[in-house]
Amino acid sequence: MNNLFDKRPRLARSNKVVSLSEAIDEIRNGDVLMMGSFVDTRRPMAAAYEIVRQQKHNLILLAQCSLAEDIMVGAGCAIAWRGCYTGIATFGLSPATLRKTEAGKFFPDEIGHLDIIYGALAAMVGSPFVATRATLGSDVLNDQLDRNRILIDKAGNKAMIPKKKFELIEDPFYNQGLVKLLPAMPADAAIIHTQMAGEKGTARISGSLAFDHYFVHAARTVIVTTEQIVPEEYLRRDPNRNQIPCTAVDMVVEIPWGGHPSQVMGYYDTDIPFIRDYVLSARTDEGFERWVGEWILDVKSRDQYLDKLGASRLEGLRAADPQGYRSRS
Amino acid sequence: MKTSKVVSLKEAIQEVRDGDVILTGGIVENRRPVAASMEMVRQKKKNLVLIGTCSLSDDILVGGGCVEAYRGCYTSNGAFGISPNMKRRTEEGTIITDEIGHIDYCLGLMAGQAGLPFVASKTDIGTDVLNPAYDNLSKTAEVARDKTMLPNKKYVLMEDPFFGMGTIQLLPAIKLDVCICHVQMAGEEGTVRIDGSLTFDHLGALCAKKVIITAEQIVPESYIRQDPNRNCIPCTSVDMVVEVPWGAHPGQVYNCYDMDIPFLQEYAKMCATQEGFDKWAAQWIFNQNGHWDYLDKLGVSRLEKLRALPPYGYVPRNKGGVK
Repeated sequence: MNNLFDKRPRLARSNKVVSLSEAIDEIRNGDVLMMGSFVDTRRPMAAAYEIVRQQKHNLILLAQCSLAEDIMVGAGCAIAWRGCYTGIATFGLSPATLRKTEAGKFFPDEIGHLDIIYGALAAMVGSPFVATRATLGSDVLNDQLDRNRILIDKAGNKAMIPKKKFELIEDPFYNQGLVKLLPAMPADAAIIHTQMAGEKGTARISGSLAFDHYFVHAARTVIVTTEQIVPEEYLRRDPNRNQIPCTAVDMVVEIPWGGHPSQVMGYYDTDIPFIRDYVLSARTDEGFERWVGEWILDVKSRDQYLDKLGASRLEGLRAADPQGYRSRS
Repeated sequence: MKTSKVVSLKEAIQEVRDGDVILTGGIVENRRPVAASMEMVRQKKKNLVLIGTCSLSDDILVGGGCVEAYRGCYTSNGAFGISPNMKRRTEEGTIITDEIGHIDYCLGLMAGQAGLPFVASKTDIGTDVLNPAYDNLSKTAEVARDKTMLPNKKYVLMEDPFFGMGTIQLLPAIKLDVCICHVQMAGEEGTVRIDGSLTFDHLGALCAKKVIITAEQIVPESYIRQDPNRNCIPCTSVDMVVEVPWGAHPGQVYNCYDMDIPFLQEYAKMCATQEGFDKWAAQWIFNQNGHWDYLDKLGVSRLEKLRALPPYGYVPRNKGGVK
């Protein structure tokens, strides 16, 4: 349809399995980036830590600004954001995002919850826009809060950002009155974390897919981090249980506990004290620096991170059947 | 509150009203709700507006005089040639056809299931889909019982205001009165599990006011919900569930049975004329006990030869090395 949404030139790899640092090397400063899943569920946390470790900057985040994103905002990796949600569920507003926004160092551009779904859906199928009535009458359409121009300025690849945030027209087909034309939400890169992936990139998610099955088709480069890499042949025996086709995936990284401190259904539950500590620390610059030093910059590898957490702490989070999470009783 | 949605095929099809805009699930000869189509012919439905493809389960409706208009992108029975009833009726000028693109069908359903009035696309630009001489949308709307199910116009062209893609087509959502899908497995409350390609059933079910599921097997909801990631249509979208073993014969159902090739060849030959179709229908559709008589007439030995073999999910020509 248009090379705007085409994949970045494929990395010439016969094997897509790479290390986390190799995968994150492919993220460029100024990239428009989608981080998979939402809030504190199945977040690509290890990948977010690695982005901080590699000191990426000027990233533009899409969709939401929750646990994984807030750490990147606090560390100065992200400069702007287009999405609909800036909280960490019961832990309150995303603290670093709140602080940086109030200080004028971070530029959020708000769209509706449904807009992120429709925007990703449009990008997935290669449509430049879709029509919706969601957000009519809300401040999402308020000119004074429109930061589309800032997103264009900051983006490394200007083609990823639409020329304007929306347009209103009369519905010519079903007499729905005024409708909003909502531009597609393509991304330079998407990173998702899944329970399982094959070495060629086929991925299997348990529980909610969130929007990951859209995001991987909306992004030009796709990185899958996964709890376990299993033989492709095993996953392909039950193709109806897989959601991400290998053709959409550029790199696969095995990271056990790669979603910690978020929850991964069937594997482990939320590390509540850990997130609480993060949220309290990240309220101030000093607190955030201390936290990021302790858990990211002074920790050389994901293995070292897991050892620092300790087996007894992690085993306390391990999911139990049949809930797929840690039941209280 | 009654939670079981299980009804008989006759009861389910009684809910289809003359003039409904209808989609039958699956694609070409794969997982088509053929038993449901035959029941519609039996109940002499009229003035249906058919959406999507006009293959096996749709062509039977056309032959049976149930369909007055068709909006879609494909009118063939795979390897068995152009859908014979559709071809004949079109040549006679006794059916309204309004062609859209293949991708229009997918995007239209995608828009419909998300509640979007339209989406932008470039896929038909430069084709006769946009030729006003072939635009039969308004004639199609005249057939529909509820005119609001069809858009006011087929498309609108405009300049893409966002990404500089030039002239693009605004494509209206597809809306359906009824969607009928045939699947491998459904729970008694309507949760659906499909094996193999979903085709567009997961989209169509969310576009329709009324959803009828015919299934090879009805299983306990508690069983099907043990692995929710394997399910494709939520029970909240489904109105009626009917257990119809071999309900897609002579088409194929992955993991259950393969195509009945001689049957499809015979259908293609006989339906070259209306008399031929009527003869075929008298033999296979108009019988005392509907689908059960149909199965008895086919016979167990014929059906058993079609039963799918693991791990292929179909009948390979070379069974386990034995020809």
